[in-house]
Amino acid sequence: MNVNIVKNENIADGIFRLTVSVPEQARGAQAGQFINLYLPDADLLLPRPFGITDAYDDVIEIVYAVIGAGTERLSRLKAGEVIRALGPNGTGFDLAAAERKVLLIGGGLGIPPLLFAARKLRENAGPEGGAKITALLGFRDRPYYSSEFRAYCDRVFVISEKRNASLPENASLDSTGVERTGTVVDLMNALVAEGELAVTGTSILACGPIPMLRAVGEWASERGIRAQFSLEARMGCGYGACVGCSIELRDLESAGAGTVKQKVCTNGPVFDAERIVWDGL
Amino acid sequence: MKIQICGMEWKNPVTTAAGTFNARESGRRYDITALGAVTTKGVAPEPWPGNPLPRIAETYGGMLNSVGLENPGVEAFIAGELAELKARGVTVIANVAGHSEAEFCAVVERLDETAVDMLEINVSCPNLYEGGAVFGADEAAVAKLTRKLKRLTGKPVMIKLSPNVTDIVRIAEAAEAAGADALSLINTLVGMRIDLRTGRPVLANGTGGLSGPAVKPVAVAMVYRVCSRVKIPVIGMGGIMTGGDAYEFLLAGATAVAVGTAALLDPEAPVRIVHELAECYEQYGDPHKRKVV
Ligand SMILES: Cc1cc2nc3c(=O)[nH]c(=O)nc-3n(C[C@H](O)[C@H](O)[C@H](O)COP(=O)(O)OP(=O)(O)OC[C@H]3O[C@@H](n4cnc5c(N)ncnc54)[C@H](O)[C@@H]3O)c2cc1C
Ligand SMILES: Cc1cc2nc3c(=O)[nH]c(=O)nc-3n(C[C@H](O)[C@H](O)[C@H](O)COP(=O)(O)O)c2cc1C
Ligand code: FES
Repeated sequence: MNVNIVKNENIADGIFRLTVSVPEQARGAQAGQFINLYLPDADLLLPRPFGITDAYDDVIEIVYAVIGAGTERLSRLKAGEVIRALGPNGTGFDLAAAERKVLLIGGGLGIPPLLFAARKLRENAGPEGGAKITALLGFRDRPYYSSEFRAYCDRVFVISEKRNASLPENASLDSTGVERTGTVVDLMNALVAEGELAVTGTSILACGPIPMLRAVGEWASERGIRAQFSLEARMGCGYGACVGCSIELRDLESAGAGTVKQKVCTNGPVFDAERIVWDGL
Repeated sequence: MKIQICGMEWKNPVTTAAGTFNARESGRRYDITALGAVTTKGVAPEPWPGNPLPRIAETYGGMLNSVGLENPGVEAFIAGELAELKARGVTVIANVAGHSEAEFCAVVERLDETAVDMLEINVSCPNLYEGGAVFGADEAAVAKLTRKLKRLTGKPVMIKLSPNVTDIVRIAEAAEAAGADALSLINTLVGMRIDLRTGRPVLANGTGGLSGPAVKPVAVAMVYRVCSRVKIPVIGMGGIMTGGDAYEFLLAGATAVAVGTAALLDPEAPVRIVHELAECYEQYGDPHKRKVV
């Protein structure tokens, strides 16, 4: 399908938010799904997959970092231009299975797509719904997308790997008012120690780099918390035809240590943390 | 655009290329019954896990893949994808994978009992052995395998040829002489990319198979040379992105064509190409009645 670029804004250093108009697809989009974008350039043939950050009215939004030729080209596209897209693709978060208390844990570019989950969880819970949504967001440098989370989350905690990078936005945002340096796992441990994070009856939705997810997975499993993770893989098609993105998952139905192959692009990108076989990712 | 091939009639000369089509996922996106036939992913006697990730890399005008023939095994294929395709009345070419003669034979014997319409023997996958070596590089081995398979099945046997050989015509002639009913070409070309920063190959497997528009002139030349030397039908493929590209292969002598990488980049490409090819027929006439001059 062809999509119309509505906006392509530079929201932070090297980070852009792209809004495309896709009336039919926007309505059906689910949190955790992604969309393939194709660049108008014969040397950039493969799909570029991006997590859906929000979908409302007739539009889908994504947030992307310029990391290579494709995203550089994307960043130069202007409102009014038309590009090819495919999606929404994949199986998103199972929000119905999430507990009344949800921890959204994001690292780096895994953060923006969690916003869509936050909004959907808030909507599903209804105005008086007792859903408690807490976001833990880990940035490498200066936080850039955390204020958006406030609209839907009860509490938002931010951490940056770089000292002082997180001010001033962080100071006003972090529900404890503390400026923190480290990774999202440091943040989780600190909050538990401070008594800010009660984990019983909580479930986790997370997106971010593999080492972060792996650590969060261990953290969750030690505490018996269900976690759903959104993964990435190099994709040849993004819709289940090339078997380029297939990973090994534990087969929980079979007794013993059986595994099955599943495609990140169709069976995922969201998988139950306890099923993920980390070695090889 | 109707064609006759190996005793079958196809409504047009377009099929999918093995490994780039999925009955359910492709079927959700376009009317697969509008194609002459569909070709399914390589299937082995038992499930294969395939190669480690990353398996996909981009190149100028194409892509590298090192999927390594991950497949669920022939029984799962028969119960799943094949049943689904046959329920929809589609003509099915099953692509057959194996590490050895015995494995190819096992799959062919089993598929002989099914409703598969044609067998495509993938002796040319560059992702199985180190350095991209292929079974299909040895003309004696190809001839011996072809003879064996012909004894095991009454279904048309098509041998899929590798471009990674010194002289593809010799392999083609060996397969024809051994009784092959058809040939398909080309499979992917061995390729490699190296990450400048880490110094490591981009694909976890080291090398992979190059496909997409970058390989098209190589494929057209090989199809042209093979078609001028053999009498059995040839299905041409390699970088077909448009109806015009497909027409070029038919002019080169192919009876039919297969669309691969184009379908990964745009799921609807095979049926778009059927429509565009119809326009080429109108504009330039029936390619099967023409010759390269
Ligand atoms: C399910 C999914 C969701 C994603 N969501 C986001 C998002 O919300 N925001 C964001 O900025 N990025 C996201 N990514 C990563 C994004 O797809 C890559 O950053 C982008 O494709 C890079 O393209 P490039 O041409 O600039 O980079 P290059 O390195 O030049 O790309 C070369 C090839 O590698 C692929 N590639 C490179 N990096 C990645 C990667 N990390 N994952 C998958 N393929 C990659 C490209 O698609 C392309 O085929 C997501 C990836 C996946 C699989
Ligand atoms: C991701 C991928 C998987 C493939 N898997 C198979 C396969 O299982 N068996 C086979 O014979 N060829 C396989 N091929 C080769 C294609 O069928 C085709 O011969 C080749 O890609 C050239 O055509 P194209 O440029 O249109 O893709 C594969 C190609 C790709 C890109
Ligand atoms: S990217 Fe092709 S199957 Fe997942």
